[in-house]
Amino acid sequence: MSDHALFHVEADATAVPVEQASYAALSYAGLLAGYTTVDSALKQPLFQRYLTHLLEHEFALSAAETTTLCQQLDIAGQQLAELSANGSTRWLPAIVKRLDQQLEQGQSIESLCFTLAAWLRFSMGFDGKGDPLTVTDPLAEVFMQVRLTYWDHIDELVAQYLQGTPLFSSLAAQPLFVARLSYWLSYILANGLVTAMQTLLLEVQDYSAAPRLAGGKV
Amino acid sequence: MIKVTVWNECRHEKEDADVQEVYPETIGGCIVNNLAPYGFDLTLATLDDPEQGWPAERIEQTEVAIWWGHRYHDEPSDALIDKLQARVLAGMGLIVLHSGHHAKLFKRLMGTSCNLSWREAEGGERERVWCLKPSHPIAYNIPPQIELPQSEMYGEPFDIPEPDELIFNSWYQGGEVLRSGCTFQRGRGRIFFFSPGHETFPIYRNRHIIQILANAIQWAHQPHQSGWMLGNWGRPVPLEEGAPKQTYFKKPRKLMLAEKAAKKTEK
Repeated sequence: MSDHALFHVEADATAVPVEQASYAALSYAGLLAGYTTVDSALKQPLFQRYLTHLLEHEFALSAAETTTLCQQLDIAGQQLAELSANGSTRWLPAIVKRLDQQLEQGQSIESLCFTLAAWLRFSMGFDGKGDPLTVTDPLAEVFMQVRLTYWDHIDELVAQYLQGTPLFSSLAAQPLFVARLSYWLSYILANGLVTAMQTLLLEVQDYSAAPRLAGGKV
Repeated sequence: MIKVTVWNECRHEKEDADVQEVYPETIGGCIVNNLAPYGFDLTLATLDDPEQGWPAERIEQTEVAIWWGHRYHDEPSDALIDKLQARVLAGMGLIVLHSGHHAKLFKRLMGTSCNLSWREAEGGERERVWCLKPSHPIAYNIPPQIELPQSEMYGEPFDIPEPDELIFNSWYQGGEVLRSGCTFQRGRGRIFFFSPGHETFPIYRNRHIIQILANAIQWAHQPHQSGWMLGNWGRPVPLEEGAPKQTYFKKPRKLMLAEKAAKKTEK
């Protein structure tokens, strides 16, 4: 498959699902970590590893395909704030669809859940310091009400987020999904985005002997 | 290739003729030149360089730092020391030489005064550096003892925390002794203090001393970056199923105050 057939990176809804997922992964986590552009987030080894894991392990892209996509996403100056708008209709459906597939096949959903958790955390409308974040989304009002009403208990909060939109209709009844989404949202709330992402990468790291034996970077 | 920054205060070389005579290329320059054959990626930095020799990119990229300072320990800014300390805790190796025992960075990392006894005898005095741990990586290819004909006496009591390992012990002609080669672990960073290296004696031209520095660079280089980075790690969800978990998360102070103020206004 040629790279061009796979990817035609445009930051709109005509992007193929894997691009949409990449925008979802970069924009909300990037903004919560304090970055303003795609290229500034992609320069960080932590974000590179996160996106690589999402694409290779949960979207089954090859290493070469991932590299090509990352290079194409790495457009200088592309604003994360613009990308973040209307995520529930532009980017998140690709994540939800992939979650359905991964759950059906019994495959890992950690990075996918983390991406969704970062979006939910972003939709709360404040950053780690308590400064306001601009949330532009058809679900913004609903999610804000959920946050204001159910903040006191993480399980209630997550349950209400899942009931607040048909986007999650297929997933809301999946206990594993609910548990992992709640887990990553808890981690982001407790530690901030960056430490939570470090934790994600620690948990999904391949601890078998294979990488070292194959001469891989440890 | 290990990225090494050799940071030298480099004021003696500008201010003192006797130092210029011994180290016309500067102390840092001598160390860099003599380490060159070992294949490190070496950068020389000084206190008078922009940002006191430590621009942000250099702090981030340096894998092992060598520190030589003496007369101007008070000049590196506290903000710089904060950044360097954080970098050591995150895994940068640090080799502190001679009078660097009183450097702000070393004292910060040790948490003690790092005071010792000293004597600057005219023409120096003989020092024997005894190798106590010949199997240690820092002692690779080092003889049982190194004789330095001219040295400054640094003696005990040396107010440092108990070293993790004592690799070298020095004896001086005057009878004093010093724990002269000590290792410490701080966070993920490895630290080696090595006392020989007075500015008016050509100690950094001694091949054994340079071998020790090269060995120490290899040893202090972070062995890997996997695993936890020793951050403050909130673990809201326990590993054991059914164990109590954290269900409530504190809001950032600014948001909490803003919400309180808004509620007050509503009332």
